Amino acid sequence: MTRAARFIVAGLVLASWSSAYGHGPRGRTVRAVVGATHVAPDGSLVDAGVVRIRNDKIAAVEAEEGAGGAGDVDRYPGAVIAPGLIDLRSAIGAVGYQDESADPIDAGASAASALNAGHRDFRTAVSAGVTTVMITPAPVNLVCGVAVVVKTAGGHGGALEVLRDDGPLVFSLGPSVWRSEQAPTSDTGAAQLLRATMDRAAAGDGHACLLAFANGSLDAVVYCARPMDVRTAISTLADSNRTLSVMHTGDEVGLLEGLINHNVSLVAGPMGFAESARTLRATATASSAGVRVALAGAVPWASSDSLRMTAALAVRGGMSPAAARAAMSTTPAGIAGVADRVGAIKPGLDADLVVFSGDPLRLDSRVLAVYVNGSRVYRAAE
Amino acid sequence: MSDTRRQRHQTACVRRAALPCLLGAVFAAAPASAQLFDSETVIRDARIITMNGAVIERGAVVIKGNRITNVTTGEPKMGLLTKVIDASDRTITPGLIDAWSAMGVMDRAVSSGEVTARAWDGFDRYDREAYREALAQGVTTLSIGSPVTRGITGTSVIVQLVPQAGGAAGEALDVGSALTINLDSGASASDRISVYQGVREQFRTARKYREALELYEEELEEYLEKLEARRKKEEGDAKEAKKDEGDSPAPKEKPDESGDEEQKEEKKQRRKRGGGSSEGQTDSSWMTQLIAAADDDDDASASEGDADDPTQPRPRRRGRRGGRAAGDPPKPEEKKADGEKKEDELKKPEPPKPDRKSEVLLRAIDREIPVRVRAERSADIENALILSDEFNLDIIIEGGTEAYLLADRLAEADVPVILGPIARTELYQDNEYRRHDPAAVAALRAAGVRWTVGSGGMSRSSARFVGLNAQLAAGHAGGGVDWLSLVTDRAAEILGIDRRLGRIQRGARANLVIWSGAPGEPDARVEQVYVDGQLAYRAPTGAGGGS
Repeated sequence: MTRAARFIVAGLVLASWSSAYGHGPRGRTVRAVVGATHVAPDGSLVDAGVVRIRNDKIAAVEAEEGAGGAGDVDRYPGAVIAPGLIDLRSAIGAVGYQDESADPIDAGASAASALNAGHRDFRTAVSAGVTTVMITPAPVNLVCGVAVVVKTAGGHGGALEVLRDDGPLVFSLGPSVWRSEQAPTSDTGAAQLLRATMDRAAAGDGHACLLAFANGSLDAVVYCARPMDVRTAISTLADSNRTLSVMHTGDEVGLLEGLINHNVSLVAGPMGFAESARTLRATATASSAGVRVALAGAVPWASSDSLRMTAALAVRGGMSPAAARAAMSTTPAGIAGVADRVGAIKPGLDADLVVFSGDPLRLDSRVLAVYVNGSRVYRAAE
Repeated sequence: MSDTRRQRHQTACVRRAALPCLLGAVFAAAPASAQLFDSETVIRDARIITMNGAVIERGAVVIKGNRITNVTTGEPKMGLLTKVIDASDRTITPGLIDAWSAMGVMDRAVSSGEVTARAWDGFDRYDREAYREALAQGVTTLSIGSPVTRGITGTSVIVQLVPQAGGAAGEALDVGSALTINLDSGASASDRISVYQGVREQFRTARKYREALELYEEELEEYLEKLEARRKKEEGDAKEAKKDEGDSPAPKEKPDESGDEEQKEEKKQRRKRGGGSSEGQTDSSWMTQLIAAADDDDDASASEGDADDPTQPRPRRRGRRGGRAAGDPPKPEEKKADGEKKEDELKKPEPPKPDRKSEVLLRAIDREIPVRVRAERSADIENALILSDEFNLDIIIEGGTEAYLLADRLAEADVPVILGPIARTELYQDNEYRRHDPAAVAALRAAGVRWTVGSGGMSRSSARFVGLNAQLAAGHAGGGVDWLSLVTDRAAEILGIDRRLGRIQRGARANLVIWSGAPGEPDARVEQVYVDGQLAYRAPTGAGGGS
């Protein structure tokens, strides 16, 4: 074979090989998704249902369809278009794989290494309208490692699209971090160990992630099982130059002051029908007092409806419907540090959209279709 | 006529008229006197969702006592004593019904769950906070059964959250509304077998009890006839003897009197038994009863030659106890050789010992009460269908996690299903919810099964959000299912109380919820709740908080 021919053959083989493994077939990208109303970034319902899409991003949101153009338009009469929902407490695809409890300080562990991209829970999440999830190492260490934020669909070649894999840093406080053979064995031990760790990090001694959090360049979330864990978290971790969020579902209204004063966000949920009225009211009160509140669902431990159930219950507890809608997308995007990519229907963000048959806060609203990066990845059976 | 005479005449007239007038007033007022003290209440100018096919955009509901007496478009006629409640811009719906609830009973089963146990006995009226929260979400009526224990667990009760003194709530609409059976066997196959066989045995015992009763009735009739015949014969003999000897017939009257007395006693006992009351029995545990029943079964079957049931337990041989026990047919009398045959033939048959458990089960077999069977796994649901076939029961499936796998059979048998929580959290464990699928409701609907949702009967506090559970179900059912209907008229129809509850119509109980907006909208709040015509809840004014 001549040299040129060899090059051509090699090139063809390479091209076909890369298309098989590197990039999967691209989905049909639409030009616009048309409903009756859409959910604005602040969570309110706005009577403008035309979402224009270009290059996988949201290009514009309008009330009228206007002139035509290249590409398909998907129409859903009477529907409400919401941004893809974001669940911060998910363990999708990583159930059982993230527990690593040998070292209580494990900043190097990454949830990304535990992901099973082909897990069917991703499809379940998509069909419930959840397009982005934050997956963390299991909260069994004081310092658990870093979280990973991925999309539940729309990745290429069977892989997941990773929005972020360098954070936030994950802490945990509560009985689940105690050990029997090594420290910490108690609340005081945990608090003392955490404080010592942070002191060393502030002095420049420790894992890079810890140092970054200590000097304010990396954000963090902390799982708090009980109200006292929230207090410990605020006293040991919060600082004016740091970005911290607390994952806690509880009824202690006395914690709100600490959260507000230290500018700490709250991630509450999942909540179920047996949740106490006090917890529902406390969550709602936090939101109206000015705490940045995101709601979480915890798929797959909880059912795929759990994020919307939590939101509906928070509204019964007194949360404003707009804040509750924002708490399922805009606010969690901010807490996960991916607000420049997803979480709102705003020009420039990824075209991750959920088409609901009605207000997403109504539990009898159905998911009609889901779009990720402008391509439809789910369509409800008729 | 002179003045005085006129006066006297007038007084006399008045006096004469007074008595009839007074009597007339009393008689006229007597039947209405009760109503006189039940004043009318009108809730006016509201949007009324009647669940009866019509939505009245602006109308009124008229309540008197515990009933709805009228539903009108526009303004109704109002009397002097009518209390008027203005509900402009509000929406009125029937009170919500939780068709499968555990509200008001202990979370953990304390009772051993017997046939004669009544859920109503375990109901706590003073769980005030819980009732207030339920009413704050519009829930007025609950169907409550015994939780958790397996087998036949007793009878359920339908409770209305009618306000009682001291902030308590709860009145029974129907105390023994249904028999409850828990066939749920979790993941254990051996449990499934033993629980199912236990239930079957109790029903078979009930059948045998009825057979024994019927046999006793026949024998009693025969006995009385023979007694009558002998009495006549002896009368005849006595007359002849009298002719001859002139003896007093006194000694001959004895059989007469005793016959009458015995007849009276028998009639009394028959009447008592026919009432079929379900009073609690203070017997030993159901296990002993089961062994005893099986024991008698064994003896009876030995005498009847019924040896074809391999599933009957074989307890150790016990000596015959004094007297007869349930399920035993009277032994054939032994013939005495020396001419006492006559008396033996006329020995009064003994009634079977009263079996309160079988009496309850016979009401289910006679379809006087439905049978709610808790079953999640398809095998347990199948067993429920087989049980209902074998004993002609009117069953309702409670739970039905895997009912969608048997949807066609359930539709064919017209067995309704009351689902629990549509969103489950125990999905990664090997238990009865392993095959839980929210899409199951769509399958049930497509097959034409009658279904609704309750809160699930497991947690005391989830009854208040049965409406949200219904919304989830309506969503997963695929459009066209009204969530409100699931917890009002559909729940009432499946529970068999739809003439009294579930709709706003004349004659129905006055269970009404006044909402601030369209119920189901996220910011719609419950403002007032009426149960049986009484104001059971009023939302605190001011703060926007819900419960």
